[in-house]
Amino acid sequence: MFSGLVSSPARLAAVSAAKLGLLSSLVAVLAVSGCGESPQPKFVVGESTLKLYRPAQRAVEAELVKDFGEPNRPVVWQKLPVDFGAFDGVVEETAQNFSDPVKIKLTRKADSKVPMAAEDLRGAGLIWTSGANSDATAWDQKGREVHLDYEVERYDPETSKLAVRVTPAIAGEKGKLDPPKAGDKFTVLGPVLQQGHKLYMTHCEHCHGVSGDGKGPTGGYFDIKPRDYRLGRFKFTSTKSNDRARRDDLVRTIRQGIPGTYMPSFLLFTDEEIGPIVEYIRWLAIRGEFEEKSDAEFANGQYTADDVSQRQKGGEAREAIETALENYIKSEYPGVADDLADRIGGSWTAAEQPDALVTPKIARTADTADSRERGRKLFHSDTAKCAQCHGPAGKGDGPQTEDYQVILGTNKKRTVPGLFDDWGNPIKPRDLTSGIYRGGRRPLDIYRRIYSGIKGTPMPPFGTALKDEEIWDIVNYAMSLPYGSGSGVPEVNQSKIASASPVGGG
Amino acid sequence: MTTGASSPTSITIRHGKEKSEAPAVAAGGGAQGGGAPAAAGGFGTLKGRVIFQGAPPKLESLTALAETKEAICAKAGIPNDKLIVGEGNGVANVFIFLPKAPAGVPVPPAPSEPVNFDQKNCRFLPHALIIRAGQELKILNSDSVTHNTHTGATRSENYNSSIPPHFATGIDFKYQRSEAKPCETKCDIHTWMRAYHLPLDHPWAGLTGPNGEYEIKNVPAGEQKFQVWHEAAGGGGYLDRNLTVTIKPGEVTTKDITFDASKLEL
Repeated sequence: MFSGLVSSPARLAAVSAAKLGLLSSLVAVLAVSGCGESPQPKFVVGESTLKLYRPAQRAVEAELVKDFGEPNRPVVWQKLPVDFGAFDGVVEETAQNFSDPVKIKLTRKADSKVPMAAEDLRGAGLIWTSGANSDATAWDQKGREVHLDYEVERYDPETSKLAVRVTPAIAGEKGKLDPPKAGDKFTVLGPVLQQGHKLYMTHCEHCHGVSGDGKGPTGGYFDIKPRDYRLGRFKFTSTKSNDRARRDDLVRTIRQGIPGTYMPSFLLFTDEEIGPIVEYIRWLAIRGEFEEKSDAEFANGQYTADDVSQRQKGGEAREAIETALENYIKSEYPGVADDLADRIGGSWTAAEQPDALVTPKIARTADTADSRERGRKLFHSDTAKCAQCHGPAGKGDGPQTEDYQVILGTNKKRTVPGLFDDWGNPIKPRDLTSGIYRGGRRPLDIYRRIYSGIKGTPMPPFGTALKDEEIWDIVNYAMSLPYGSGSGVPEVNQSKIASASPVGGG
Repeated sequence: MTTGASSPTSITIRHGKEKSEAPAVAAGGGAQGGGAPAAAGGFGTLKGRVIFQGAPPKLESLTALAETKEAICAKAGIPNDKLIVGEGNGVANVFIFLPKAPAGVPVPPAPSEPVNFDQKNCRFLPHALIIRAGQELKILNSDSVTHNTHTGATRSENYNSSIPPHFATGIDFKYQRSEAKPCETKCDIHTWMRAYHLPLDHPWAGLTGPNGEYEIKNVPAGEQKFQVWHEAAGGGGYLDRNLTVTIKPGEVTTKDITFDASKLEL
């Protein structure tokens, strides 16, 4: 398939062309032009960035390139809580020339979070931490000092030989660089991200897109949309309602898939494959959040395109607005961007801490008829209000699925009834009689769904409103529904039979 | 063929502390640009009324609007708080605020007492409030049903927590950062419930009462540019982005604001 290599606008064009039945001619065009270099995958500019006034938009785009790079040239931004993959290395023999392969010894950094296979280090970044090259500078032909970037040219795990490449190339001329000496130390950075990228592009990009926006070439055809990671929000987690997802949550979702959706189970991935994929997805999510929050900063300064035109109508001069914006971009935005990365990064780090994990304080209540009955009562109670969405019989057809909601941030009602998620997609409350549980079928999984809600959806977190034993009773009741609880729940949704009088305790 | 047989990647390293020499955020030098020059000294009061011109549209109660009556949790009819016009056509819940603290004026610290935010008869009370970033918002529930309070800030982390029935202890929440305009808070269980919170990093803001009056005390003297925002206004809610007022030290400046139906987007 060609699709993964095409940047998104081109891909969208391809999709709409396909709808017009033009796909065959398009393929023909691509076939003719498709023998040269493949187009490089690119990150898509986010919707909220596109709403900014042009100079602000360019500033955000430039910052993203500086901090995250492009898919094929990712940046290891060391302040992010991403395990980019780090090895400590030491040179074991002295080379003749800088670029000669030398025997080295590699050790994975002790604080590594992600298992990875060490074979492929090509292209990984390299920092000399001791020896003549550790100042990372050289003199160019005009006598100016230049900063050098090093990367792994090739590494052969069989012979433990490593060759290093340096950029800019001007400094690489023979005789100008000190050859590595025995005992020189260095750090290799980024191979996890590279392996993650490669695997992601092969297995995930179809649906989730190059940028993780859920708009891969196949994604558009699904009625249940692939996750757009850019809000940093994942539905099925083991963490509290205001916490991000843990690595383990993403590993579980990839391994098990999401039953009842198009997300398949990838049980055949090894730990060394799934680790880098998860890390790459976390990195894409952080990148997306960073973009959205950067946009919010500019919107806060009233620099959306709409703001600027309104401000001009209100009497402000365009030049004055632009000068102020330029000053902000130059003197404040770099600090703001650093701060954003720290705060977003801090949230992802916090999710890995033990106190972010939802752990029931008591063991599951025995699944007895009594417990199910208590659960049934709670299901219909004003405290839990489950029936409101999940319906009186748990079929996912509660009254809220028939109401027309007001679109957030506007005064307009939706034209379609029912519930919507944070990505703006229509969403149905789970039919609990189906026995299909998207976030896992263990009682603990259902407990966590109730305790923390489902992030990014209208399923609220009940952890502060229900006691542990109450949650377990609801778990027992909900899990009995696929088999007929025999509890006399009416099969007909009474709300559909116009009951005009308000119900419930006021 | 694999989909993403991308060409070999290569990594660039960006060190953590690269930007530490960037200048610290100068107080008041921020995104707004033209903050008013430092108050030459002294503070004054700004007060006035926000008045609706012409006959205000009558909004149907939310109880009447609900498609499925079961969704309504209160026996009492739930009034529509989108546009509240009181005596003498005064408009309630209009925010009048400086988008940022004027340059050179010391900003008083946020009050230590919390702002209460209750839920009663399936309505958020108050419907609109101003709070300082870092100040405590105490979320209460006077109803016999569970609510969940779900904030919608753009700069602060979103917050979502259920609030148990008859919960007088309250859950403490803080907006970490200020916002450019009021942000929407919702309840996912009772989807019509909406409230508007304006977290600011300074105290120079006012909110109109039931009859449209507002008063902002201790405004730094000099020319100040206020913004006027209401949830029912079109164009992002702004009734006026540039309400220019000259505040005289020790004096009360009166500024009435009028608007008509053409400004509304209902």
